[in-house]
Amino acid sequence: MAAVEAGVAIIGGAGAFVTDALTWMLTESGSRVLGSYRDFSTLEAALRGGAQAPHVAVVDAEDPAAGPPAVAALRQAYPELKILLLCEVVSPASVGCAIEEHVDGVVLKSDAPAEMILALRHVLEGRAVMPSGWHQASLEREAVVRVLSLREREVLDLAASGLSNKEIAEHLVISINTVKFHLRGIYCSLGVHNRLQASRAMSPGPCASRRD
Amino acid sequence: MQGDAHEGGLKVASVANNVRPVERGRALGFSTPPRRAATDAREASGRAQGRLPGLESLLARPSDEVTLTLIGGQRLLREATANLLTREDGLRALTTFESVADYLAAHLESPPTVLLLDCEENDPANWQSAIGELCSTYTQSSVVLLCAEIREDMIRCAIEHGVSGVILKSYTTKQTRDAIAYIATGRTVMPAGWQRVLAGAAYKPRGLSPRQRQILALVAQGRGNEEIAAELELSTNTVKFHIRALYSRLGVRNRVEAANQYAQMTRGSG
Repeated sequence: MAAVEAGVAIIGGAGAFVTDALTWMLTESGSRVLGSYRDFSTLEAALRGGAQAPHVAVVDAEDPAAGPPAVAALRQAYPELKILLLCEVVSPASVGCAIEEHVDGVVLKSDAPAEMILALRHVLEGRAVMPSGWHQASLEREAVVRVLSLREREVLDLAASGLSNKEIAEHLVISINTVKFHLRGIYCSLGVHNRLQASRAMSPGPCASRRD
Repeated sequence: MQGDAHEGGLKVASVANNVRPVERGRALGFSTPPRRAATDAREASGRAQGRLPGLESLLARPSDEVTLTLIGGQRLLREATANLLTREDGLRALTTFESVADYLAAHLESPPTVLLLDCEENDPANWQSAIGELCSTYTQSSVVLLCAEIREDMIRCAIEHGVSGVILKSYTTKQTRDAIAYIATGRTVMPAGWQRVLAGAAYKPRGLSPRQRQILALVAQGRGNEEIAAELELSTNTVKFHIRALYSRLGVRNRVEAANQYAQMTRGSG
C-alpha cells in the first residue's frame, strides 16, 4: 500500500506521553503530524497564527477538553476536514457523535496500531470506517435521542463527558438553574435518578464522568 | 500472484452435496466477532523475537484467506466481478448466486467471510427483507451492499440489520479489495459522508418540546386544528403557533409531511 502523506493534527489526549506515542506511530506510517492541540480553540489560534491546515484531525473522544464538542466545532468550522475519533469503547455517545457530526472514522484505543493506520488510509481515500458493534450503539443512541429535546440532548452529552453543572452552563451560555431544570427533565424522560445513570444511557460500562 | 485455481474461471465450491439445515433463530448479531487471528499471530511472532513488530509488517495482508460470495445483479457482471476481485491472493470467491433466496436455499456448509450483495436490480422492499434474513441467519458472515450510490433507506436498513458496509460501484478494484479486507476483520466501511443521507429528521430530529411532541402525535392521527385545540384545552391560534414551530423544526411544509416524519421517528420504537 502506498504511504499516507497527510497532514495530521491531534486534538486532546491523556498526556504528552500518549500524544508522543501517537505522533511517532503516525510519522512512522508516513503521515506528517503538524501539531497536537489541547482543544479546538488552541488549534484555531495556531491556524490563525499561520500554522499549516491539517487534512485529518485525530480527536480523543474521552478527553473532556476535546471529545464531541471539539468534533462539532471542527465539523462546523472545516466541513471538508477528515475527522478520526479515538474512543475507549463503542458507546451510544461516541457513535452518536460520529453519525451526527459526519465523522470519517472511529478507531478504538484497544485496537492494534496497524488498525489506526489502515483506518487513516481508508479515510484519506474517501471511505468512512466504523468499529464492530456500532450498529447496536447507534440504535441505543437513537432510542435516547427520540425521548429528549435538542437542548436536553446537548446537556446530557456534556454531562456524560464529565462536565459539572457550572461548566455545562458556561458552555451553553445558560444559567446553572436552567441546566438543573434540563437535567430533571432528562432524568424524568429516561426514568433515571442521577447524572451517572443518565450518562450510562449514553455510554454503557464505566461512566465517562471523571469529576464526581 | 494467484495460482492456477483461477485460470479457468471461478473456483466454485460444491454446493449441492453439502446441504445442511442452517442454524436459524439466532439473536440478531450486531457485532460480528472480530476476526483478528492473523493480527494476533503477527503480534505474537514479533514478541517471541523480543521486539515489537514494525508497523509495515503489521500492515501486511493477513495470512488467513477471506472468502467471498456475490449475490444478485446480472450474471455476467457478477461473475466477472468475482473473478476480478479474486485475481490476487488473500481473497477467494466461494460461488455466486442469482438471488438471496437461492443463497439461503443452498445452505452453505461454511458460509463466506463476506457476502457481497448487489442491491440495484431488486426493488427496495425485496432487498430490505432479504438483508434482514441474511443478517439474522448468517451472523458469521459480514453482509456488504454493492450499489451505485447511497440512499437513506439503505443506510437505515444497514444500521437496523447490522450490515457491515456499503461499497460503491465507482470504486477501483484495489479500493474494493481493501474495503473487503477491512470488513473481514468485523469492522465497517462506508463511503465518506454516508451520514449525510440521514441528516434529515430521521436520525437527528431537531428537538421537539413536550407540547410540540403531543401536537405532532395528534396531527399524525389526522386531527384538525380545532379538534386538537379542544382536546388540549388551547386556543386554535396557539395550536397553529405550535404547528408552525413544529414544521420549521422538522423541516416540513404541511401536515402530511409532518405525519410521515412522525411515522419515521416512531418506527421501531414500539
